[in-house]
Amino acid sequence: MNAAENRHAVVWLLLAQLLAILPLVAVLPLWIIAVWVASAWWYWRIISAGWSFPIGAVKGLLALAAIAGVYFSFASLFAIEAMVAILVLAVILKLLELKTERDHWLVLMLSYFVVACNLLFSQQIIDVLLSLLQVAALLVAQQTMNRDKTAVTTMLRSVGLMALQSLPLMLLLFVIFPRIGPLWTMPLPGGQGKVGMSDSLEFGDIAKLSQSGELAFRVRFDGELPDLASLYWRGLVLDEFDGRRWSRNTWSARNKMSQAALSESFVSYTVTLESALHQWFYVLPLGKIDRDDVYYSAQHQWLSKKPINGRVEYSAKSNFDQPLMDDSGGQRQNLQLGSRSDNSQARALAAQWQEEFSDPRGRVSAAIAFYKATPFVYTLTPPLLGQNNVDEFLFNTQQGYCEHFAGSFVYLMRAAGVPARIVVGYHGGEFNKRDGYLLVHQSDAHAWAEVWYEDEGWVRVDPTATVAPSRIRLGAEALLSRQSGYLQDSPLSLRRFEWATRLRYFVDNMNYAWARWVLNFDSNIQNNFLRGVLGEISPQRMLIAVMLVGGLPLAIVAFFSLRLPTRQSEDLAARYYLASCRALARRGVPRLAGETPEDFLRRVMLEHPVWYEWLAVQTRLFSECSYSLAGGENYQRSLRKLKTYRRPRKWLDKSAIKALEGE
Amino acid sequence: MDIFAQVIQEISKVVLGKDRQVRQALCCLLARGHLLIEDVPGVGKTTLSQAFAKVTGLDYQRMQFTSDLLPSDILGVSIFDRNSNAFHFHAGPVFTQFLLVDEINRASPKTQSALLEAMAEKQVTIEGETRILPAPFFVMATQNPWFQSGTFPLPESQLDRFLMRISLGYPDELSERQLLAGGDPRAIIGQLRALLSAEKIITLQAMVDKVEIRDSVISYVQRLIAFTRQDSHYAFGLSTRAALALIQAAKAWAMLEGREYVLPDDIQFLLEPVAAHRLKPAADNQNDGPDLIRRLLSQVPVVV
Repeated sequence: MNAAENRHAVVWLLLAQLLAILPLVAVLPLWIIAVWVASAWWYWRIISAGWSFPIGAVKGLLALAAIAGVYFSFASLFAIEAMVAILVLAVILKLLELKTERDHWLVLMLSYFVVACNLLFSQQIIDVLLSLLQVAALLVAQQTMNRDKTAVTTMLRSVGLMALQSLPLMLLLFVIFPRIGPLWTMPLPGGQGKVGMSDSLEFGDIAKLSQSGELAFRVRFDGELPDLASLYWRGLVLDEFDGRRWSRNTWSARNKMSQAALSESFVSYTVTLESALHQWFYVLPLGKIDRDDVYYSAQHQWLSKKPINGRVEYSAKSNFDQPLMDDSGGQRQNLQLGSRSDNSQARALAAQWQEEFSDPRGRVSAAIAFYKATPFVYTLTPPLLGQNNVDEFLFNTQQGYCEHFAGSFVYLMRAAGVPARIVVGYHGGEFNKRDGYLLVHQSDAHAWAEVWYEDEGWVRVDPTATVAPSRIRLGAEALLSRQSGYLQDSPLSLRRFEWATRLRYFVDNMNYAWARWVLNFDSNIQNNFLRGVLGEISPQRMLIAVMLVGGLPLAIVAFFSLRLPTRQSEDLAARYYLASCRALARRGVPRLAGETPEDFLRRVMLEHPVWYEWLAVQTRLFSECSYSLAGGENYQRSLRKLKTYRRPRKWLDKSAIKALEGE
Repeated sequence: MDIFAQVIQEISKVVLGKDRQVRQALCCLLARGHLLIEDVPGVGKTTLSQAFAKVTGLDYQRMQFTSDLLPSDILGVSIFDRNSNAFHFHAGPVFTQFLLVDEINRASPKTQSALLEAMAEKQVTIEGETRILPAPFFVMATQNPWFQSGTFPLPESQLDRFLMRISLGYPDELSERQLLAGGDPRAIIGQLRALLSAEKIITLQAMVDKVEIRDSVISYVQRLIAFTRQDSHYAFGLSTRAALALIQAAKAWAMLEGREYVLPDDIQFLLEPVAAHRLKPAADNQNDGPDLIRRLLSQVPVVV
């Protein structure tokens, strides 16, 4: 088929191609759409107005211009977006040399890759539904290659049928196909646009984070939901301080007194982390994670052995009452004050406490009392701080967010000789009543302090609680919802409306289920699942599973479709006659669908005379019932005989026929 | 020997080895249809029609269609008679019982459609006055399958007016030898007996209507036409008129076979003459009429 002759197929090709490319405008530059419009128009002129295909030099120039365009848009050719852009441009420009049927197929097949590329950037249900639509359009476009003037509904029906037929195979592959780890890890997408905790903290970082309505993780508790105010999702311990910036101690010895110490009374829960770009997990203290690829550091934090890429699910157990002991002897380090700032006023105040109280507990309560006594303002938009940020915050601006309180508190404690450190994580969460799980958003990000007592280990102190007690009880949302800036550019601001909240929970439920059951099906879960089903994972068992899941349905389908049609006829005469024919077919003498009974009889007489006489009787009876007798007693008698003699007999005894004929 | 066998035997005296076509022509007449014979010149189209006219005992008119033929040349014209001071209608050749039209595709579309209208309505309207054609009215038309210059191929809608389209083909070796050895067939035509008459034919046509066709056969016909409408090999499906024609022809055929009921075999036998000229292959399909019919016969189940 020459592509130009089948306009129908061309229109569908262009439509399907546009549909495949369009959702990518979110990540690709808009000029790619302009390139598509120009190429599609050019191609249309080629086939409708007799324009010529571009010569090689023009095509070469176009390709170079496209690559240059990608380079200028992304400043690189090797970012994932740039690579996708190059693929998309190749698919588009291929239109300008679409001469043969083979080219047509090539563009269609490449468009499937474009559809798959959409899923690189997001895999929510909505994206999957969209890609189903795109695949349907491509399948229709594929069908138009081979048939013309067919209604779209007919084609959609066969597309649906094909999709249904491929469904079992898809499910089978989903379950058994090995999950190959990434060969290289590529930051997706872009890096800097992603919201989330980083492994260092400066004043203002968490305030920025709290303006995002994005989900950080979901938690499903096995038992009852604990009090929201007590949920401190401990993520990262920041114990290095250079005077301005808190950062993580990269020397993290593995904690020897690890999980084994976890006592009996614990809560267990499952956390589903949204795609994260870090290496640590969030647990309630003191927690234990059931996974092989994680380790426990001396700071009581859970770290992944390799960078986390994409969504992660883990189950954990926690005992809130167990102390965070530390026998590594590294607490000296938690006294350093850094060289990048001076903060003399704060040091002086701390020195005063150190003189006044010999016991660390006394110094801590003095500091808490100080925070209570000072009229601090809790705000999302604190003023910028200068060189000596702690001093400026404590004695000058007195406006801050949780990291200001935690940071200044830890600074004061260290200056007063009490080992202290910052912990960042999330606090509280939002309970989804519909499905019974906890949603923790980026806006729940929180920073608090931990101080070291020789006898008790690391004890949590949340100075923010002294300033705005309601924030601790209700969570960031309740406190901040009246302030400007909080979630100001997020669709979550719709939370004023009851129905909007319910809808949001519903959508979130769907996404959670999707993430839980589909996206998180990693090699860990896969192995567990297969082991659970098969007992052990061995080639033989896998083979048996594949045979059972894939082979058995195929065999059943084959059995039913390869058999002669067995649908029972409404017409009794036809039913008995067809039964006779089937019985004869099983003996190697099949009747063709388009063969009339008389024709069949003639053929049997010539080719298989042994059945002839019996079939002659059956044919005569059937002919009477179906074509000549309109009913009545004769009809009933013929029908009865037809039924009685419907099994093939080798008529060797002529008298038997005579007897039958005479009945 | 029944009357049909005698008729066929009589015609076979001049048209040798063409029993099947003769029977089909007779079937067409009994089913009140019209016959189109498509074949190369010189295989006996005219001989068949003349013998047929003679044996059936019908009034016979023969017309040679040419490109300058006018509708009035077929239908007739009113001429002013000065003596009686009134118009008098001079009936055209169409006012006959058996009309042979040679090379129908050489006349202009206007003339063709005048004839075809007469065939469908069995009446003609001239100058506002409707005139009933004689009964029975049977048209046998011939056309050359190769469209030469100066011909106007009949469009599908007009082909549909013919109940059957058959071709004679070259005679087999034995028949041809007898033909060559025998005398001028036209001389023999004069000696043929008229075995039927207009009255007998009308009676037989009425008997055709009484031939029984059962639901199982009707649903087979429905499956056939439904298949042509769904399958992508056909440019368009068979019409309801085609299905009616098929059933009517099958009834006549059953009567010719001496049966009072229709078998699917009758439908299958008549499918090509009745349906082939009404089917057109889809654009990208090179199959022609016979292939399309074979496809129908093999794909559509007879008994369900």
